[in-house]
Amino acid sequence: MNPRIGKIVKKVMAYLGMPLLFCLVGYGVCYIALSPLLSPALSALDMVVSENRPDFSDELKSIFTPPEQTDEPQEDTVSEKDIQIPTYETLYAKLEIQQVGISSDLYFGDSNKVLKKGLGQYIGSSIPGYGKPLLISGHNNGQFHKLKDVQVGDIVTITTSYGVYEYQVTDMQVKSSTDKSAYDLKQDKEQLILYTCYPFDMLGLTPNRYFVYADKISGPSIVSE
Amino acid sequence: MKKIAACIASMVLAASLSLTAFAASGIDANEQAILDKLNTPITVGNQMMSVPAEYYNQAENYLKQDGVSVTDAQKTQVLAKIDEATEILQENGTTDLLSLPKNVRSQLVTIAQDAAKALDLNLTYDNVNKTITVVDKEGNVVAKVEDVVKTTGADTTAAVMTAVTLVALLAGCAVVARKSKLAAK
Repeated sequence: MNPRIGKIVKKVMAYLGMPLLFCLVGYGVCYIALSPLLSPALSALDMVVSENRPDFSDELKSIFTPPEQTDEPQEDTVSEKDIQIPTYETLYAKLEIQQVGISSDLYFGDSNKVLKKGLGQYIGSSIPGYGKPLLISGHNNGQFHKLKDVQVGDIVTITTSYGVYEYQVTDMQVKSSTDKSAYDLKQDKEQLILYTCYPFDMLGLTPNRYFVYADKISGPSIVSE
Repeated sequence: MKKIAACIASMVLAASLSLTAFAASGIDANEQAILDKLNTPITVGNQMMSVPAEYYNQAENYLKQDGVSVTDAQKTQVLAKIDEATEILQENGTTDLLSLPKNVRSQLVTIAQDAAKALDLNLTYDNVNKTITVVDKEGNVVAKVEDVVKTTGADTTAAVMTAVTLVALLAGCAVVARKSKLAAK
C-alpha cells in the first residue's frame, strides 16, 4: 500500500474510527445497564404521545367472596342473575392445584399489571360454568413455576363466588406462542387451558409456551332464566 | 383481518355500552341479534370469513354484564354498521386486511370509531404495543385486540449481556495491561 495512503488510513482510524467504535460500545453498555432506570422516563414521554389514558393505579378490583363452606352438595346449576360477570383486571376467583402446591388469585384479564399479582384469564375466553373454554396464564418464575410438575389426572380447582369448579388434567403440550392450534376458543366444551413460558428456566424471552389442558368434571352450570 | 374483526367487535361493544341505567344480566333479544350477526360468516370473494372467536367472546362477555343493555335503536345502528363494513370487504373481494388499500382500511377504522364516539366510547390504537383498546367513558377497558397468548416469562437478557460485556472489557484491559507491562510481576 502507498505509505501516504496508509498514513491517511491510520489517521482516519485513530481520529474517527476508534472513537466512533468506543462511543457505540459505550452507548450500548450504558443503554443495556441503565434501561431499567430509563423505562420510567420513556414511559413518561410515551404518555405525552399516547392516545390512551395512563393508569398509575396499582390496585385491582375484587369481586371474589369465597362461597360458604357447607356439608350440603353443590347445586348442579346456578342462575345467571345470581352471579357477577367480572370486568377487566378484576379478581374473581382462586385457582389451586394441590398436587403441585399451586394456589393463586385469578383475575379476569391478563395484562402485565395482573400477571404481577396473580394468574390472568384472557378476556376472550369464558368464566367457569358457561360450558366454554377458559384460557389462563401465569409467570413461569412465579405462580406457574410448578406447572411443569403437573401430571395427567391432577385436579385443578377454581373457586368462584358462585361455585367451586374442578377440572381434570388430560394433556400437556409445548407449542409456539403463535401457534393458534394450541387453543380453541370457539369449542362448545368447558376446557381449561393453562399456559406459561417455556423453557421454564431459559434466559430471555421464550418463543414457546407450556400448555396444560383439563376438562371440567364438576361445578354448577350457569343458566339464564 | 384481525383489525377488521376488532373494529366490528368494537362496534358491537360501542353500541352495547351506551346505557348503564338498566340493571340487566344475561343476553337480551337485541344483544342476541347482534351476537348472531357477528357469528354469521360472510362471503368475501370466494372465501368465507367470520369474526374470530376471541373477539366474539369479548363482545358476549361484555353484553352479559349487569347494567349493559341494547335498545332497539342501538341494535339497528350496530347492525347497519356491521353491514357497512361487510359491504366494503365484499367490494374489495379479499379477507386479507393487509392487502386492502390504505384508504379502505382507514374507512373501516373510521366506521368503528364513529360508532364508538356516538355511544360515548373510545376506540384507540396503541402504536407502541400494537393493540386496539375499547374503553367506556370512565376509562374501563371493555375489549382489546392483542395477542391471545402473552409473554409470561422473566427476561434477564439485559442483565446477562451487561455482565458479559463488563467481564469482556475487564479481560481486554488485563490483556492490554500485561502487554504494556503495567501489571506488577
